[in-house]
Amino acid sequence: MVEKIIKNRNMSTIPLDKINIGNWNVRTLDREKGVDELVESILKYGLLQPIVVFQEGDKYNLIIGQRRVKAFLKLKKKEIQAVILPVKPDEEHLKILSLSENIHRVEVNRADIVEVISYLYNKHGKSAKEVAKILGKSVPFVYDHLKIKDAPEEIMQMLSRRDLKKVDVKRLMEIAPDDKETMIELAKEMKKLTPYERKRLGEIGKIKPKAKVKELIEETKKPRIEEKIIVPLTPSLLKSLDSAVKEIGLSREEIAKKALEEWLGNKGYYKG
Amino acid sequence: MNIKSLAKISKGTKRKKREINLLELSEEINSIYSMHKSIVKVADVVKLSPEMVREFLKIIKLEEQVKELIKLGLITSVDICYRVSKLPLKDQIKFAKQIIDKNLSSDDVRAIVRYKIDNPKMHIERVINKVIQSKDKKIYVAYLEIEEDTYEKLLEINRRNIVRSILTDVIPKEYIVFFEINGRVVIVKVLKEGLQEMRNKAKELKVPLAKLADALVKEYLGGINGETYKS
Repeated sequence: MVEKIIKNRNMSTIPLDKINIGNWNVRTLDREKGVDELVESILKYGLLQPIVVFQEGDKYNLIIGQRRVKAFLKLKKKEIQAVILPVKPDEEHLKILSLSENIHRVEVNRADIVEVISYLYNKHGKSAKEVAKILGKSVPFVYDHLKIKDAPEEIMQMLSRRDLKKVDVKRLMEIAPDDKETMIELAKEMKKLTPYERKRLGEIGKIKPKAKVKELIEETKKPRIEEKIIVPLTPSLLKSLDSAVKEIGLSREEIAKKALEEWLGNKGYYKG
Repeated sequence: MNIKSLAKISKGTKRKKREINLLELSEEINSIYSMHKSIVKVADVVKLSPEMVREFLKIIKLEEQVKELIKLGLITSVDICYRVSKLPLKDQIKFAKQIIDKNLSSDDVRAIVRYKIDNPKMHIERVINKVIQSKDKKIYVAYLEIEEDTYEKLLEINRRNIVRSILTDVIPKEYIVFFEINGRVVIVKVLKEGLQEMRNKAKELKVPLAKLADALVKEYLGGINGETYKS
């Protein structure tokens, strides 16, 4: 359907004052972001890609190209080159058209992507594969966004404002999946943490699911110290180790760790 | 666009095979961009992903002094340049110098840029320190054995101090976390940089790392009294 709409499109120059920005574009946030850079680029190279609209009476409803329209308005232009779609696409097709252009180009707000993916997922029998196919993205990309679709509204707002990243929301969902209040409290604290501390919070939170927010944050702020022991090996021992690596498919370090655990366990020094 | 230029780009995008610096490479890619005016088309021509092309194109927009550092080959990672480009021009050179001085990794650079974007009013140097201090520390524990013969040649009363002083000549003190001599075995806990210094010295002396202390003591003994030094 989307392909058919695009195939039957018209290209024309349309007056800017006849364009409705409306609610069809997936970009609901950051509408002003990057407009100044775009103005500069248009001045230097001209408009490289036309906007996409559909006609309704003497008005044109904008589907793709919000920032381009805003840049043209800033430049006080009267007209813009546009692809005019023959029919009014339905809500789903509009979302797909808008998002598929955006996710391949300028960074779209993650919360917007989650919203569209979630919408398509519910509409297409909860098949991530189908959604991936529609959007031309990978299945892990879809799953990654679906993991955070049930995050509380406050958290999604923070994601929209870029106070949190997608990975941070995933971490929060893993730490306190059924506890909205803790999640929000942690999210507020997370904003103040460095990226390394945020990562640590995710790891500690999974190990200590019952810990209080204050306790988690305090522990998160303490860098951990990991000791790596360098053990000299005889050539024959190294050869044996490498044979095991080849046969079992684990790394040297993993095998060494297992061997140590086993030996210490057998001698009664290690209880796991 | 000639074949020579394309070959230059193709070779240059792989760090190990690169014969031109990142800045020249970015200029070459930019010249193709000004012909096609489309990142996707450039990506197709130079056989790189559009994301990679976008990153290369950011290099020519970096602050002039940063570009000089790239020209000198002091920064060789496209990812690092791209991250630096996200900062305001006034912060770029301060940050670039710290990347070189502190040997910051791509992960560090990414974390610092992210934190600076989240805290735009915080001074860049404070951001760098805060992020680096929040990082988990990896400590490397090495057991260095001194051979019996070598050990015997050292003045008994002063063995510990001599070994300590020999090793701290090789590993700067700020990289040593823990140091202990247990009989003929030296236990050293060092930061990554300390381990690198030890590895370099072991390589220079053509011995495995575990024999480093022994080789250094032998070198010391040879240096002060020839092979026959005896307490």
